[in-house]
Amino acid sequence: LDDTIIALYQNGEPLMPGNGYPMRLLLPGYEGNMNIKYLRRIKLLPEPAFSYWESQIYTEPLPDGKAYQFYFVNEVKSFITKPSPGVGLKEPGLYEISGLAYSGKGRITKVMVSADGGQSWGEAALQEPVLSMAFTRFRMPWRWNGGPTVLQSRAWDDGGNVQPTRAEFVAARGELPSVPPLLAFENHHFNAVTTWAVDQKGQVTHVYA
Amino acid sequence: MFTPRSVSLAAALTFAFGSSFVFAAGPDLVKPISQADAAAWDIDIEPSGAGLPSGSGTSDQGAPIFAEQCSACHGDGGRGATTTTSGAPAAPPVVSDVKRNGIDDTTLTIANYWPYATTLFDYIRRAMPWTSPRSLTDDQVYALTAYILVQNKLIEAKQVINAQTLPKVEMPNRNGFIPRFPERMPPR
Repeated sequence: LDDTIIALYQNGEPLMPGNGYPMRLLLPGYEGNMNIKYLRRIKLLPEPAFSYWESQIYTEPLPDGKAYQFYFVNEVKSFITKPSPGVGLKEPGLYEISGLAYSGKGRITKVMVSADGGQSWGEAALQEPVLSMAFTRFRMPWRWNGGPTVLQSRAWDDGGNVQPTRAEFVAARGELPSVPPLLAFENHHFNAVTTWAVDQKGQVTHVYA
Repeated sequence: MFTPRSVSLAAALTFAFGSSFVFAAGPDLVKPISQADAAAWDIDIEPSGAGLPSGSGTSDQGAPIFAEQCSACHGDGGRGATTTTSGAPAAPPVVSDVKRNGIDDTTLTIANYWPYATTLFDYIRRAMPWTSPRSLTDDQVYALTAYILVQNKLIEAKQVINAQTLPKVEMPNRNGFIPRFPERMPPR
């Protein structure tokens, strides 16, 4: 935690109220809930307090009956933001696929993009500055021929960590019997490859692949 | 009130945006809080029992308190409610014999999941009742803690819960957890 700061300013002005004015904790790479807003005091304890939230909500149950705890770090992840559900394609032609990658363990070194459901991959360009534990924008030119297809991205970081495929993630972590509600707390740390299906009208939907 | 880090951050931001800007004068944080004022916030309980106040309670004492203060949202006997009297979303059950089913979060309960019973006291005192947290006395919180533990068959019916007995309650899933990143854990 040598990079932890107590943040008073953002972009040259005091924190906005919604961001925790007058000060908040900033823990690079850690999940959002750890970055405490409206920071009042810091108390160091000899052991974890095991509050309700760290006892149940921010743990990750595993298929074998155990559960991960102290799961603070967001692992390497990427997803395509354009196109994406709600941001479709109008007509066949040249497009730029772009998206975001990040890793709570370091700097993004590579993002691969597939426009054919994972059969072939090309390396995306990373927009500078590429900083450790920060959103990294990636871009890839693409010609859409108007047919249905499947878009995916996959990221690597400088610690050698690789974003898992969905199949790899499910094999290690299990699969829920049904799609969880949007506001449910399941799978906080799901970081597998996200897949968008493009139909002939250019509309984009989330699919499992 | 600038630290060297915030100064270098300012320089980095100036560089990044290619234009200069100046921070306003240092943050106006008014005045340090006194120990006495901070004490009201200093209510965290540790699994060792550190932080537990004096006082005590039993399940029999907790039952009527639960009926009055808790059952509207948590249901009769803490077994969950589908709707609440106010129309607000119902709270989860706090008494359950549901068996955990794999990774399904909806099957995680106090009895089959929580590693420490001290969490009950901490959370009830800190956050309950939802509409008026911190309104219960420490004795009432101990009594509600005892009631929930008894209803979940985690302690004997007549067990007195206090600062000495609560940390000794053995929760079934105490050893059910593993750290996600063992290499980042401090040596024990």
